[in-house]
Amino acid sequence: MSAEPISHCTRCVLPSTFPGIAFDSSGLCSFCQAAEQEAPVATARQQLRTRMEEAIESSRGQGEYDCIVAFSGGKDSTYTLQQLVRTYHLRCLAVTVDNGFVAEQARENCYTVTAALGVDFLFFRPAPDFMAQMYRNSVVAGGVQSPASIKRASALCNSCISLINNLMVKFALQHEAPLIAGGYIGGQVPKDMAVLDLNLIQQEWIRAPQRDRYTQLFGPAAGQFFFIRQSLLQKQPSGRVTVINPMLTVALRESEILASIQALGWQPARDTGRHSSNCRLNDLGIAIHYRQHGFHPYVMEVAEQVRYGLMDRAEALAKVQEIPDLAGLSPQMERIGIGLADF
Amino acid sequence: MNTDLSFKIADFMQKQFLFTFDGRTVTAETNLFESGHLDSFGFVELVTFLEQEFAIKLSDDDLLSNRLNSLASVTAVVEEKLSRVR
Repeated sequence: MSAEPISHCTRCVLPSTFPGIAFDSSGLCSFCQAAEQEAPVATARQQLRTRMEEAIESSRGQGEYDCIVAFSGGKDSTYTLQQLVRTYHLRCLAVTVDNGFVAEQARENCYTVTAALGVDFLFFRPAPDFMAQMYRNSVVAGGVQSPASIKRASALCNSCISLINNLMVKFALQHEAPLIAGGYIGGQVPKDMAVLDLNLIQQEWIRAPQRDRYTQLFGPAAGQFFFIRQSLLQKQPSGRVTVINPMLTVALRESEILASIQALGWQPARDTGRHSSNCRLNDLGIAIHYRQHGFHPYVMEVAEQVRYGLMDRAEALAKVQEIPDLAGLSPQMERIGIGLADF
Repeated sequence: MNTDLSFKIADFMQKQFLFTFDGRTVTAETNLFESGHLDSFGFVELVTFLEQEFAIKLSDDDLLSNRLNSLASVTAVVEEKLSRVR
């Protein structure tokens, strides 16, 4: 980490430690400068929404469910599930992957919200030993994820996200659902993931080397979570599923999202830190990421919200400058088998 | 290989995906998925960049061909596309 004082973009709060960033003489970062060349955010999101709605209409009524929803019980995936059920009237199967660190309140939210919306719900917990090994080696071993993944999330989150994304494809194939929905917001994934036509054969050659690394690092059980067997792939004759992320097509402040989902009985968890509404491991990921890379792993998404007027700059700055104290995270470190000397 | 084209694509890859074509560990022929420098999110970003920057449309065949995996092969695919529209 640099000993230089960290400065932040005068508009969006991205720090001088962020990879590849440059600033002009007024302190505006290169990401904000690039955004000025783009279409207005309302226009861009409306175009994405139109594309998503076309995908929804062409997928409706084909399988056992219309859509598998990656449902963490957090605020964004709760809002997503609500939109898909109440606005688009999709037959959804909500799936929560329990990584072993789901907050009790988040677990309650899962049951409360799915009951309120009247959707089928699956709570899936991979073996705790496997998850601990995955998390441990995500921190300790080098080269688990691509170099650019550090811009999007912590090492812990990136591995978990990979696992969840792959599991959602498996559930979609098992239940013949043509759609998979996630609750990603701007800055977490490329904007084009608002609607992504996922060619499963293409994904096989893209992900094969990654799966090989996972098997090597996380053990043979990784195959169960990161491989899709040919027999399962053949259940979708088109070889495709469509991934949608409705949150990328709307412009909402956090307060609007919370007001909407609290009407479903959703309650905020109190033990998940500032940046997660469901996971008690998240703060450890943030603290490790900051120590290794010198910037907050949520800064990209926070910056995008500020850039598009969805979060006040002062609030954003406070969010990305508050780094969880590792001293208070010993129980999480112990559970995944790492110590301070490991990173 | 069209060096201007290759330079532009390499510049994007290096800045976006945070690695360097150093001529030893990563070369124009390195399969970037096998080397771990590109992942499925990166692939989405790469395809978007190529289509917007060069005003081309990558077909299913292009995406399924397993050719978009190194600087050299990506450049070749873009060259072929551009030669067809000239």
